[in-house]
Parts: sequence; structure tokens; C-alpha cells
Amino acid sequence: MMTTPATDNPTARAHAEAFAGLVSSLPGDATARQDALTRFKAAGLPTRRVEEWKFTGLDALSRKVFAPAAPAITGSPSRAQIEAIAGVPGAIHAVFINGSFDASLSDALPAGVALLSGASVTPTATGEGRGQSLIALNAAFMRDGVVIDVADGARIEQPLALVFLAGGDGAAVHTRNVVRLGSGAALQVVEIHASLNAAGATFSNAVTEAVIGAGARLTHARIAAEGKSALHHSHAAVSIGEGGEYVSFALSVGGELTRQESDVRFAAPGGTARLYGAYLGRGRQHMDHTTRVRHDHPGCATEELFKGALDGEAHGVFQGLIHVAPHAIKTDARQRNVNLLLSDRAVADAKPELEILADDVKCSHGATVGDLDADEIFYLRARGLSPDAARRLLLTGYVEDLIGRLDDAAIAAAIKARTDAWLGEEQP
Amino acid sequence: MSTPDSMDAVRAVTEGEYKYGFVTDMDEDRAPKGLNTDIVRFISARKNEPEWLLDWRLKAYQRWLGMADRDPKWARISHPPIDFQDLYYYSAPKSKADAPKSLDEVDPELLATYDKLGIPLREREVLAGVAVDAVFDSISVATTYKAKLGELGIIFCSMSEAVREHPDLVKKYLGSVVPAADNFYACLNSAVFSDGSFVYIPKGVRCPMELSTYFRINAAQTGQFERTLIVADAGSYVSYLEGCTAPMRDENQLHAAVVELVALEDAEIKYSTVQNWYPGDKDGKGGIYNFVTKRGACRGARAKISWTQVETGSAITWKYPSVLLEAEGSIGEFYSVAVTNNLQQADTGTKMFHLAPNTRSTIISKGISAGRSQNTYRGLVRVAPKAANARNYTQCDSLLIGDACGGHTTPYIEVRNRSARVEHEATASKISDDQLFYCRARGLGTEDAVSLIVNGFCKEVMQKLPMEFAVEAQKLLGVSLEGSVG
Amino acid sequence: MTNILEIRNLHATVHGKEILKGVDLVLPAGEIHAIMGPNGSGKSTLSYVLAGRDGYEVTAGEILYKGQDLAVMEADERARAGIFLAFQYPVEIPGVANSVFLKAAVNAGRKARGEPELDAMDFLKKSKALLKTLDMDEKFLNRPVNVGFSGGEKKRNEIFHMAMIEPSLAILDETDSGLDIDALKVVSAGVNALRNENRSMLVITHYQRLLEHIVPDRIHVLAGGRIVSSGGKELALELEQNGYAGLTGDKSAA
Repeated sequence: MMTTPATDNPTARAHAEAFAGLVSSLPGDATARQDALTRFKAAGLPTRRVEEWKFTGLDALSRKVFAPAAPAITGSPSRAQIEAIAGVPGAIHAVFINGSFDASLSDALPAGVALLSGASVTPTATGEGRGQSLIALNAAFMRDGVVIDVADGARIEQPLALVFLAGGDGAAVHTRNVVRLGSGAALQVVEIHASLNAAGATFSNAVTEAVIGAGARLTHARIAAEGKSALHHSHAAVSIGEGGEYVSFALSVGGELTRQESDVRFAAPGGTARLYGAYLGRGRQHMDHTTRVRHDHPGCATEELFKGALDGEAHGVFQGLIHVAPHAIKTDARQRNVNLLLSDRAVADAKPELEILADDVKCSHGATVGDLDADEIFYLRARGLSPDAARRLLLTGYVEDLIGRLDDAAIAAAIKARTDAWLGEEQP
Repeated sequence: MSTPDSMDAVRAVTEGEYKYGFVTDMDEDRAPKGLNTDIVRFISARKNEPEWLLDWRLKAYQRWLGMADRDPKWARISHPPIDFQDLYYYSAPKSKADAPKSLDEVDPELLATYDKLGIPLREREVLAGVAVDAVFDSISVATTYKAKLGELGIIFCSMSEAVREHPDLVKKYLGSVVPAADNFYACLNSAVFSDGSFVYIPKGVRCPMELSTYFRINAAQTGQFERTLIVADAGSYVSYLEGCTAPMRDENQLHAAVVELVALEDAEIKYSTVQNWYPGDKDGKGGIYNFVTKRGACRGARAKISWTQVETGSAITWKYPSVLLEAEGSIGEFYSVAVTNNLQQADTGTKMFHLAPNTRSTIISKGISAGRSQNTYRGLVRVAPKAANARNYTQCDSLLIGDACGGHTTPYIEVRNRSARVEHEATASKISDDQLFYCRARGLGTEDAVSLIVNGFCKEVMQKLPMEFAVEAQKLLGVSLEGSVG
Repeated sequence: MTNILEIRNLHATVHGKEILKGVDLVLPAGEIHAIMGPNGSGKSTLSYVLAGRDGYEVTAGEILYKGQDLAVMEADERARAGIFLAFQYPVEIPGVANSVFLKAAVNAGRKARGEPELDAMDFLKKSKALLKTLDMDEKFLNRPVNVGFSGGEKKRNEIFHMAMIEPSLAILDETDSGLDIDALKVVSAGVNALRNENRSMLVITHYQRLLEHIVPDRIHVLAGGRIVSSGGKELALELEQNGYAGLTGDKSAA
């Protein structure tokens, strides 16, 4: 038995029981939602016996009941607070409270960006594979999100900040975004997932589908910065057209358990994927970054770099699969995962994986785990820095090297604000 | 460093042991197909085993029954389900009446391969299973060496003999590294193991020659469910060679061996394998399923266990020679070359368990895939909370030849100690057209060029092999890849 | 005097694009001819066509080596028959010691000619003597072929290979590129030491500089896939002063 039957898990059961009462109030095709729920029930929640979940258990969904959240709650933040939470200078903001769009807190959306409404998206089984039943759960319960269609050749200058706020004890929030870029289009999107109240135990389950047209470029950042009791699962299913480019940055700084998945496919030759990620954990945080890149066409390039800094009893996980299909020649794929263990009880697991079925390729991966370099610390101390200052400086450099790879200044700034905050916090 | 002379001598020793009754009291018969407690009792009885070993086997059998349908499915290999009731679990050495009478009756393709590998004529007969009385010229030399090993207190004999002559040692260590119910195939082996080697090196003794099972394995046909146990007592050293470069035929399609190594304080065990079982034909018909459990335990401080393997044979290879680094400062090494061609499948690698402070491990894996084969490195490096200052370095390189094969790397890295440093690097590439042209522009034919480039790719591993083994293994790489570049 | 190499109306394509458009050239035994020409004139293509590289297709004309048609010979057969290409960009072969590689190459040639193979001792003796003349350290024998070699070391290694292999026809493709003046002198001396009445060389270069040290019997100018001019060694000086422009009609070529 690879999975827990849906009926055995209190959170799964709570969802199944709530469905009938909710479905009429949810947008879109009720039958499609019912089908998704059926798929979810059949698959059950993944357990650690599923290879893709080997290092991350969803026990938290059994310990506590998470039920579909009410569409709105009281105590909404102010517009100024929203901008502070987002931290993306000059962005267009779209704000979602517990999965429902809040027009009063949002900016006017530019042409080409639409709210996810009933008719616009039929939740399909996109991206659902082994161990992906949370995506089916999302398809059954998602309420809002954005649908973004960028016309051929349109290059949207202003970054789009999607702010997802969750609150209320035991609230499960399912959101889904669809981003479609026409040929030669360009867009920058940042998802910020945060808590309305720091102590709230919420469960966010966010899915973003992106289709990048020929020669188009999408920058997509995800910032998981919820409160210490929150659970977060996000999934990006991305398809890259001919010569298209996908630049992704997944940052995990919050939550009790965070898992950010990227599932990238090249739909045509000549595309580029650059996947970056950072997970900064302390306390008993568990942070999982799982990527899957499928090179199904020749001449595509992937660059992946994920860095972890784990303090306290934090547990960091990186899983990265690069798959090169037969005949996907001239593939150039490089993947690297670096983990720093900053305390005696921190834990790092890594599973970088190459699956190569074509011969004319250049593929590599590397993974390291260790503490900060003792020689480097000594060098800084010999220049007069205290051990603490030396460590902090090295850590800052460690993270900045990653952020520096982003070309989009506003997004880099939003990420840097979060990592600086993490670095500046007192060590517990 | 051993010399070819000592190799011959060791072969002669082991052959001599066969002559002197290595498989003495086995009947010329075969148990019926299928597996049940009667068969387990039959095997144990035929080998005149003591009660405790029969009990051990029966317990393993019961555990195995509980694992039915739990044969491992996680590896990147595929094969039709194995009907375990359709196999023979005990067969005495094949009657000479069925064997080919001379090399004239042996598959010419096999003979051509022996020729390419430069296998001496006499050895070819033995390898091809020709019914010859394996009388060797150097029995006196053999006796001298056997005497010399005896003087040093070294025990090198078959597992059956060890059970009879050294029951305390066997009882103490058998199953202590690979428990009877460790995994599906190891459990099956524990119930029905046929024979294998037993080695004990006493305290402070450096075994003066490479120990080899080369000939005995062939002569006694212990192959199918081989069980090997090597114990190196404190401060001792032994280098053990398993297998041979010549393709070996065997009628048993399933091989499920278990090898256990125990290294005590300051002891070192170097275990080298060249595996070239029949890989099946170009269309993937036939070929051995080689499902092996090999594990060593460094039980004493500063102990060292080093696995070196060159895997070119078998239709399917499933093996992960591992090291339990249980004691402070112990060292584990894994050096591997795995070549797959045609429709072969290999899922092989290692597991390094860092359980004590200051333990170190090195993993160098070179996978070469050609034809329509699939070649996977699968490895685990685990650093336990107690393993302060543990160090691991892993390098996995895949070389792909042709566009219909697969080369895969699946490492698992699990670190639970801050002061550990674990580094993993992996690459995949092909033999570049530039390299091939450069070699050819210097006058080398395509196959020689491929062989040269592949040997260069594998050099770090090949140089870990004992010298005379390395020379044979180098040729083997070339022969295994013949026809892979058009 | 016999001709080692006769190239007649040679047309060749690389990946379907015609680069050589009717080259004619005769190289008598014992002579050194230089081929000069601007970038993109087809110099390297000519060297690869002569060496038999895959993807370099002869579409018309013929190449006779010692009177034999090269078209039917594979790259390694040509090498064993005595054609040597000193690469412009020597290739790295990790893990394969220079000595192992070279011994295999030398003996492949000797075997093809029916000569006894060099044993390890003779090979080592000869290698060490030659390395000395090329101002190369003996450790080059044990290092993997060209791996981690500097540009100059790679070029010297090519000449070392040539000296060991003793070809009848050596093609030196831009052997001077990337060499400082001292290295250039050493390499040239190495090449000059190999001059004899049975060995011919085709020296391909962009610059006249090399030809001050390896003085050719004749110089051919290759431009636009054809030999546009031939002459004695004085032609090099003329080119140095006037550039290729006058010969190719392209003023930008230098």
C-alpha cells in the first residue's frame, strides 16, 4: 500500500464531506470538480513510501483537520500592509484572502490579465502524476487565482505581485493560476504566500500552470513565507515553447512544512529553463524543493541551483530530476544543490537525479552538504570580524550569489528583503 | 603488489582444494524443482550441516515466505516475473557425461571471445565446461602455498568446509552483516545457499597473496546461491578476487549471492570483482539475472573496506556493495565500472553508512551504456547524527554510446551531522566525435579507439584492480563494447 | 622526382556547404609547401579532407597520395599509410596516458607496414630522446593526452607525436597559433629536424611568421576555396606587406 486512503485521513475526509455543500458556490464546471475529487480519493494522500515523497511526510494533515476555508474573513490588512508584505517595488498587486480575490486591496489589472472565473478554466488533470494527488485536491476545491494571457509580442514591464494571504485555524486554501504567454511575450510574476496572523495553522495548496510561447520569457518567483504553524504546498506546471525561457525562483522562509514543486517540460526545441531556489530554515521547519525537468526536445538548456541553509532542527530536502528523452540531443543540463548545516541538529536530504536516454548531451549534477567553510571563517576573523559576523557575512554572500542570478531587479529586491530578514533574525 | 606467479599459484591452490575434496560428499543428484521446507532440509542434509545452520536456513525460509511478491521493484530494471517454484535449488556438479567432450563442441563465438581476451587454452576448457580432469602441473607449488597460508593461520576454504571445521567462526559472523531477512534475495539465499568461500585472516597477519575463487567456483558450480564470508581480524590485510574476465556460461538464470565482509580494528579488506556472466544474445535472449547482496562492516577503529568491481556481464545486474562504517575512523571505498551493451540492464551502486565519527568514504562510479541497454548508478550516502567529521566524496560519470541506450544517476544523500562534508558530482556525456577522429587520425581503428577512450574514462577505477586482473579487465572493456560504434 | 600528393580539381562540402571549389596542388617528395590564406578560405577544411574526417565530403576531383586514391580510405587507414595531421585544436582524452596513446598509434602504423612493433623499452628510449629535443618534460608521457596542457604544450605534443610516428606526409594545421616566439622556435626546430628527402609537409598558416622558421619550398595562397596564387618563399613577404586583399579582391581580408 503506497498511499493513505483518503478516507483514513481527517483532512482528506473533511474535504470530501465539505464538497457537496461547497460545489455550487465554486466557479466552473461542477462535473470536472467531482472528477478531480474522485481522482483524489482514489489516489489518497501520498506517504513516504511513494518515492517522490521519500523525505517529506504529510503527517501534519492527519494530526490536525484542515477543511476548505471560508471565502472571506475579518480583519483584512490595509493596502500599505499588502505592499509591505509583497515587497515588490512598482508592482501591480492582486490580493487573495483565503483564496478569494479582494478587489478593494488590489490594483487595476492591466489588459490581458483576468480573474479566474467560472468559464475561464476547467480544472484538468494537468500535472497530476504519481504522488500528485494534492493537485487533484486543488482542482476540486480551488476558488480563485488569476488567468493571465499575454498577447504575442507584449512585454509587460511592471511585475505582477500575487499576494495570497491565509488565516483562520485549520483553513485549507486552494488557489490556481494560469499564465499563458504568446510568442515573444514577456512577464514577471511573483507569488507571495503569507499568513494573516502569524500563529494560524493554515494549509495552502497552490497550483500555477504556465504555458510559455515561442521566444517568450516568463520570470516566476514563489515566496513561501507563512507563519510557523502553516503548511504549504505549491506546484508549478510549466511548458516552454520553441526558444522560450522560464526563469524561476522558489524561496522558502516560512511555515512548519513547505514543499515547492516545479514540473517543467520543453514542448519544442531550443528552450531554456533556469530554476533557482533557496530554503532557509530554523526551529523545526521542514522545507522541500522538488523539481522535475523533462527534456523531450533537442537543443534545450537547463540550469538549476538550489541552496539550503538549515539551522536549529530544520530539515531541508532537495529532489531534482532531469530527464532527457530519446532524440533530445544537444541537451545542456546542469543542476547543483548546496546545503549548509548551521546547527548540530539540522538535517539535509538530497536526491539529484539524471535520467538520460540520448547520447549527444551534456548533463551534470552536483550536491554538497556541510557547514560553512572553516578556512573562510578564519580568513574573515583574521581580518578582525567576530565569528558571528564572519558567519553572517558568509551566509549573506551565499544567498546573494543566488539572488544575483535574477535579471529582474524588482523580484530580486522582494526576495532579498525576505532573506535579509531571515539572516537578521536572532538565532533561536 | 602481487605477481602473475602468485596468481597462478593461488589458482592452483584453489584448484588443488577441489581436487582434495572441496565438494567431497555431495551427491550426483538434483532436488526436484520448487522450494519448500523439505528442499531446505534436503540441501542442509546433503551438506551434513549442523542443526543450528538448518534452523537458520528454515527461519530464513519462513521470513522469505512472508516476503512473497515483495521482490524489489524500485530498481530501474524490468523482467518477467520469476516463478520461484519453477527453479532448482539444489544441483550437484554437472555430470561429465553431459558436458562437451572437447572445445570443438563449444560455441565458436564463445571461443572467439576467449581468444580476444587471451585466455590460456587450458583455462578455456575449464571455463567452457569441457569435461576435462582439471589436473594442474603445479600441485606441489599449490601445496607449498596452502601450507604457507596454513602456517600464517589463514583459513581459506569453502563455506561447507568452514561450517564443518570452523563452526564457531561461521556461527559468530554468518548473517552478522547481511541479516538473513535483509532483503528478498538475500533472504532466499540464506534459506538455500549452495556454497561459497570462507576466509579468516588472524590478528596482525597480512595475507601474502591475492585470494581468488576463480577456479573453484567453476569447478564446483557453486554459483547460483553463493555465500561468501570474509573476516579480517585486528590489524590484518587481505585482497580477495572474485570472478573472471572470460564469459561464463551457466544454466541457472537466477543468481542471488550474498557476500559479507567483517573488518576489525585496523584491518583492511580489498574485494575485487570482475563479473562477466553470460549477458544474453544481441536480442536479449537468455542471460543471467545477477541479484547480489554484498555488504561489509568496519567493526573496529580505522578498519577499511574497499570494493572494486568491473561489471560487464549478466542480462540484469542488481547489486550495491555497501559499507557499514560502524567504528571511529573507518574507511569505505567503492570503485565501479559497469558496462552494458545490447539489451543488458544494470542498476548498481553502493551504500555508505557513516555511523561513527571521522569515518570517510569514496565512491567512484563509471557507467558505460551502449546498444539498447540501460545503466543506472544508484547510491546512498547516509551520515548519522553521531558521525562527526564524516567525509564522503562521490563521482559518478556516465558515458553513452549510441542514441538508443540510457545512462542514469540516482544518488540519495542523507546528512544528519553538521560537521560532515558530503560531495557528489555526476556527469553524462558521449564519446565525442573529436576524440574519435583524433585517435583515428593517429592510425587507430574505430574499435581500438573506443576501447582506448573507454579505458581512459574508467582509469581511476581500473587502477584500483590488482595488476594482472586489470590487464584482463582492460581487454574486457573493449570486447564488451565491440560493434557499439558504427 | 615522385609526387607524394596530387590534388586535382578538389571540391568539398562541409555539412552540405561547398568550401573547396577546385583546388589543384602537387607536392613532390621531400618538399615543404605552405598554404596561406585568410580566415574562412578553406585551409582547415583542406586539412580535414586530407585526413578523412567524417562530414567533410569530396564532391568532385581527386586526391592521390603516393599515386593511390585517398577517397576509398578511412581516416585511420590514411594515418597508418603515413599521413599525419597536426591538429589546430588538439583533442583532450581524459585518463589515457600520452605514452599509452602514442604507443598504440606508432604500433598500429608499424603493424600495417609489416614492421615489428616497438617494445616498451625502445618506445621509452625514443620518446625520451625526442622530448628532449622539443624541450618537453618527460612527465608529458604519463599525463593524459592533452588534458590540462597549455596551448603551447598541446602544439609541442603534436610535433612530438609526429616525430614518433614518422609520417611520409605531415599536414601542420595552424601549428603556430597560440605560440609565443620561444615556443615557436622550439616547435620549428622540431619540425625542421624531421625534414628529409622522403617526407613531405604541408604547412598551413595564416601568418608569414612561421615561415621564417620553417622555410617552405613553395607557397600557395588559398582563397575562396581555390589556390589563387603560388610562388617561392618570397611570396610570404609580399603577403605580409600587402595582405591577402590584392589576391582575393576582398579588401577587408588581412
